[in-house]
Amino acid sequence: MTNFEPLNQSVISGRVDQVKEQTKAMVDAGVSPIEIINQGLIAGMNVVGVRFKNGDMFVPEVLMCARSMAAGIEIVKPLIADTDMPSKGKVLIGTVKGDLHDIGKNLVGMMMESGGFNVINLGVDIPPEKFVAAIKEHKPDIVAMSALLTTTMLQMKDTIELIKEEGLNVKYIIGGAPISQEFADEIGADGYAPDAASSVDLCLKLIG
Amino acid sequence: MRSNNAHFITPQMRVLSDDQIKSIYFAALEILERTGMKIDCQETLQFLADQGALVGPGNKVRIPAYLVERALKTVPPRVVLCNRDGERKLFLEDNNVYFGCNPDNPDYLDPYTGERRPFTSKDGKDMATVIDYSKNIEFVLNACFSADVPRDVADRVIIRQMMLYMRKPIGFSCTNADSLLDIIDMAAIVAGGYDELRMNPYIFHIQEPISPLSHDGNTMKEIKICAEKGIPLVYYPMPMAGATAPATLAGMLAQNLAEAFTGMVVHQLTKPGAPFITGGVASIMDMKTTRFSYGAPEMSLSVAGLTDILHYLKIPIWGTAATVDAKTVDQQCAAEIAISSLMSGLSGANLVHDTGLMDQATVTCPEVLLLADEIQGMVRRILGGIPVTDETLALDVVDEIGNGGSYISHEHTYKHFRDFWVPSLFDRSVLQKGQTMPSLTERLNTKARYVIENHEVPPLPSDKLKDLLELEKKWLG
Repeated sequence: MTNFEPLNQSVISGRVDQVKEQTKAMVDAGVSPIEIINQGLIAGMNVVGVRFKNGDMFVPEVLMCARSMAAGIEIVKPLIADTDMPSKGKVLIGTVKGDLHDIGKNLVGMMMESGGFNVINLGVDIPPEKFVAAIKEHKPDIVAMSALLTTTMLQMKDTIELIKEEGLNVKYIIGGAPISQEFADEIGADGYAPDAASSVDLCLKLIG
Repeated sequence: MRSNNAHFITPQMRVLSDDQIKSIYFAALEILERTGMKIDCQETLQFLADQGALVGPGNKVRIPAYLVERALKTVPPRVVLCNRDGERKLFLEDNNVYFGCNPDNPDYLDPYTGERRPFTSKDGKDMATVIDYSKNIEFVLNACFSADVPRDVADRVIIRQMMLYMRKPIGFSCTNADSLLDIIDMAAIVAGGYDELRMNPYIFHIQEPISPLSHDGNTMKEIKICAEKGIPLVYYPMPMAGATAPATLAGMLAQNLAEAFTGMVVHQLTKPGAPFITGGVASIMDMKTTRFSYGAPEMSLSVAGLTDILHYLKIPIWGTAATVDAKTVDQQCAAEIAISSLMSGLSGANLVHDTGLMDQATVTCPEVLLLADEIQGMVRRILGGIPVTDETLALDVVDEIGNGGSYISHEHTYKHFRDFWVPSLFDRSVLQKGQTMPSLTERLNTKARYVIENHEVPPLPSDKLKDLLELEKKWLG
């Protein structure tokens, strides 16, 4: 019986090097890669999630934990089939056309990754056509759009309309400083999150 | 006579020493030379290259220190702003402090229903009326929200409401360079011509870089327009420590300064001596919610730091205060307004904006302006300091009243008691048994409605109003 507790603790403490060492040691000892991911790495991250929700941990700590978990996953990933990789769902994220604001959107992406989602980050200044092409390529469950400017937020509407015209079946979520639930309702988005942390719950709710 | 006597001091505060200021200033120059800025505008990159900057791949430009120093030599140490009647009112120089508010927001807390709902141009009129009434709110900054009109014309509609229903100087952000030109046309009508507007600026424009170290193409266009037309420009970033800037305040201030200098270099090299103001809304990211904190103590501290640096460099200062994280007019709101307003006052920022923004700049209301007006009145009284003269030492009066006497009916008291700050909202009454006092929230609401319904703003002269309404057919159709 493998003791996953030390690996859990290393993830919870966000110690990247320690996670790498312990994961390698487990692989060498013949522990099942799927078990390492589920019981060693994700189990540690689940504790982080609970502590964050309780206000005992902060965003930079969560991101460091997520980075340490990812470092462990990198090591076991080559040993298992892609289809066996645990994931809560796939999210395509980007800042809409005309808007160069990057950081809030990246933060949302990182929080989603740390919450167990597979995130594809398209970048900034993404026109509706590029969103459509990326949906066709990656087949995400959710499309997440960001805008910081009042002058660019209307691009969200155009993007949703084009995706619908193309007959693609995804959920839409939006966020950014000027965005509100009313605006989300007005343009037919499935959800709005006021901050990066709650965007993870929103995704779970939409595809759970 | 008294020699070597610092005759009169007023309360003041420094948060940085001269040496700390120099370190941050040189750090900003190092960021410009070493890391450089990303500017998404070929014309500006070419312009900077011609001036001696080093343009590299990816729209990156490294700006040598001598370009900053050249801009610092031509940037005016003062900018004067005028009211609707062309009177020179706000002297942005040295340690003069003026508070101003942001009248339009995505949402509005309706004083008649208590409901939070999208902000409309009618609310713009009510806010303008309250601003005109409020003594300590001396300018506005419009953010271009008005849910009842198409989004791309909201900027000009809300600015027209300000021009019609209040008389104080108007700052604004706007949709793009074209609407900037429209707004300049509007202001020229009110000021009585373009030369008049240049000599007696009634409006100022704000633009922002995108932290960290990036500048949008449209922004550069607008900087150039302001420089060429002599419209005062405020160029300032909104860095978030720990997210879009280093988590340490010194590093954030250096980055803030470097970003602001980039705008200043383009602006001053385009038109030496054009009116320029800078500062920063420098705060932290709240690490639980990932939101930008407007009420954080780090914001007041950082803005005070920038104020010290800009005093040192003799550039008019864009300050920030009385903008809050609180979601409504409550205890948190009052505390956040009070601390930030006093900090800004004591450090002497010139154009202190964003009074009354709540819930991370998403909602405002008349009540919060009236609350801030009251608090900022207290701040102003404190800033007045303690004049020490023969008259104020009043030794003859002390001797005359003597031991155990009373000053209440003395002429000296009659002459000076008016200097006392008198609350218009805060309560000092004696409560009788069984009597209850309406809460401050209720009193604010009553006063807000009273001001909206009763305060009279003189109308804009009819010829100017006619021209303004004629001009706006261009965008309203």
